[in-house]
Amino acid sequence: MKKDRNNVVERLRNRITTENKIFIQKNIAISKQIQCLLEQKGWTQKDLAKKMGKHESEVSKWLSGLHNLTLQSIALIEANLGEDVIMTPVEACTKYKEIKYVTFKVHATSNYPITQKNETFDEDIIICLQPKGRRVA
Amino acid sequence: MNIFAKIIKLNDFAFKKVNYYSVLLEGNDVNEFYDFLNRMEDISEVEDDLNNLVFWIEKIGNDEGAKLIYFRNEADISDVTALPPPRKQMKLHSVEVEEIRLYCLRANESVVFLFNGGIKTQGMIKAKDCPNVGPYFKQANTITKVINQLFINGDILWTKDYSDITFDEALEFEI
Repeated sequence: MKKDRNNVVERLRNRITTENKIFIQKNIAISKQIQCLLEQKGWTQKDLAKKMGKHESEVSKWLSGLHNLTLQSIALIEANLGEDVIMTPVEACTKYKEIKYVTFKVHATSNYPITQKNETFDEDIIICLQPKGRRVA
Repeated sequence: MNIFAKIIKLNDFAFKKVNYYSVLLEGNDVNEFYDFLNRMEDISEVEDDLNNLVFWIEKIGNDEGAKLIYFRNEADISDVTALPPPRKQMKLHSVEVEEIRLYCLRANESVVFLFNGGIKTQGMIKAKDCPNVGPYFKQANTITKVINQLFINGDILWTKDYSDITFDEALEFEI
């Protein structure tokens, strides 16, 4: 039977697997993380490529969100950035449970809840968050 | 011989952050992007790659926006330097999933034209010299150049917030 060429999108969407979706989601997340680290360091993709001894186009391909990055490539990026690019939930739990306080400085008015919108904020409120089980000062 | 083409909004690919467009060439039953999908659909070697690509297009459209980082510059003859904002330069890009290449014009973070593509010959061969994707690469460059000119001439206009474009539905151009 001749296929309907206008229905190709529906046919393709029906065959996208959970694995395909996870692959793209993880890939884009990794790409965003690397981009974020580059921005924090004030580096460009070219800087990273140079440091890794790779061509810029190769790094650009890695960050497209579509390339099948190997763990070896991720390790190379982490080694050159000096930062974690991926971290498992167990690793994250171990690393961040050591943090006792996270301080946010929020501009807010003292007369309204900080969720109140469209108000003129007139002073700073410091919010301290503590890990579960500790009393908030 | 030159042929006429028109811009088509891909209603199957209208998302929160990106509006995708393609072009319909005179005499063809589907637009260039759908032609690419139809040609790749039955090639089992690239089944996963094609699935990934379609979901990537959706994901970029829904959640990420067409950020430059996700596109690879493939500009050949279509660079222009005098265009309306928000981008001063529009270039032909490609998205590649291992062996597959899809050529596109990323007009800005919210508007992307998807053209045609194929399976690039492996190795150091350049896209324009590849027997599989070469014709589509050249065609995409030509179309990009014409679309750039349509922006310059005011035949394609940006919406106020640059989140989409407007044009006369009857607009046709020669490539």
